[in-house]
Amino acid sequence: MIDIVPIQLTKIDNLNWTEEDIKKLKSRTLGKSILKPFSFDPDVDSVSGATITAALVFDSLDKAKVIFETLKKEGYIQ
Amino acid sequence: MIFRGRLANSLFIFLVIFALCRPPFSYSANLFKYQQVAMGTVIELTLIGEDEELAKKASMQAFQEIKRIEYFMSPWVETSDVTHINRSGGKEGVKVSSEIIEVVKRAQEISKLSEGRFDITMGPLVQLWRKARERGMPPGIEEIKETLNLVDFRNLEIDDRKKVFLKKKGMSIDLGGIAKGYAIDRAFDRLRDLGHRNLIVNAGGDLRVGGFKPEGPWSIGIRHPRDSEKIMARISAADIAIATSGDYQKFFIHQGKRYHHILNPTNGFPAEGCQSVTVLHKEGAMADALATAIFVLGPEKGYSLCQRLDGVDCLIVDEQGKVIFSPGLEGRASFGP
Repeated sequence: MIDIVPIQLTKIDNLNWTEEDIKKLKSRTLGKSILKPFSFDPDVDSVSGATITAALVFDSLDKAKVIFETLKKEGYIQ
Repeated sequence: MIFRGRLANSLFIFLVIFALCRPPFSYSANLFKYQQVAMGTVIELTLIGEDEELAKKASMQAFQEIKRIEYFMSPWVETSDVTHINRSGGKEGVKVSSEIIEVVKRAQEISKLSEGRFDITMGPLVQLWRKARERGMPPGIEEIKETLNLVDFRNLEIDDRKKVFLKKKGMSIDLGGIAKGYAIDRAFDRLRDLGHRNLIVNAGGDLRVGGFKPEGPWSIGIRHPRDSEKIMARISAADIAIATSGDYQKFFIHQGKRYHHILNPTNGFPAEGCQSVTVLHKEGAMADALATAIFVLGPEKGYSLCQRLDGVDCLIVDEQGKVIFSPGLEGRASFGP
């Protein structure tokens, strides 16, 4: 992960993410390998309460490994 | 020696019980997660299985089940049972599906238990506050009083011929406080029928947990009511539904006061006293409706209701941020970041 650029990220009540929120997300993701598991909170399997946007971002990043492997298998990545 | 023998026996019995209670896991079992948008929120399914294709097919059926329920319970769908009931208010009873009857009966049960703090006839009040939220200003007192004349669960009748009748013209039902819980129950049942025993069905924070993960019970995070990206507590869970109602989900601020979406049907205003209420019950529909009812009742009366009901546990965050939880969560809930 060399960078993460939010195009549109909203929180509860459709409030936009602040610079501080984005900084926090970057600090937890940049420099990590997509081949290793990403987890919003490794101690938690699911969350009760309104959906946490960061948790969804982490779940999506966790799918990057599968996409990477598929692209590699199909010869798009050497 | 005797002590050591007893300890060994106890340990053996514990291990046997633990082994019997936990479903067997094959070494090739994997955890699969799937997400889709439905019911105006994100639906997340977590399944443990050996075959990814089978897990994917099962998840598609569960998503379809949730969308089917959304379709006939939505007040926004022209042909839904709920739309028919609302259009016939004050005129005639409407014959509806047995599923709607089941949900309405559950809702009426919670209305009685909570002395009307949970009420699906709040449709007109919900509409009034929805418009208020759009313009960022609360409705006038007179407007609220007038609307409250159309809100009373005792003016909803169900007859033996599966007909639902709203006694006054202008009345309408809103199943927003129970539909998601019911949908997770049905999706959960569908996945169970397809052979999945260890799973989580989560509809925007209302969830139902089945079985275990290979390491032990599932761990469910409870969202912090004042920090939208943080977990406030973790609950160890197996074969239970967990629903949370919070004042943070939909709100607007007018002249420094927060107006949220959980309304008190007895005075027409957003309920006061709680930031968040989490309820554990074996069924999603009941957990969902009880979370709203307890939130509206407030911390003291809400906790008292939770204590009176069998098989119900709750975790309440009051307006000062103080956490109260029922004895059943002792040792199963942990707090902190």
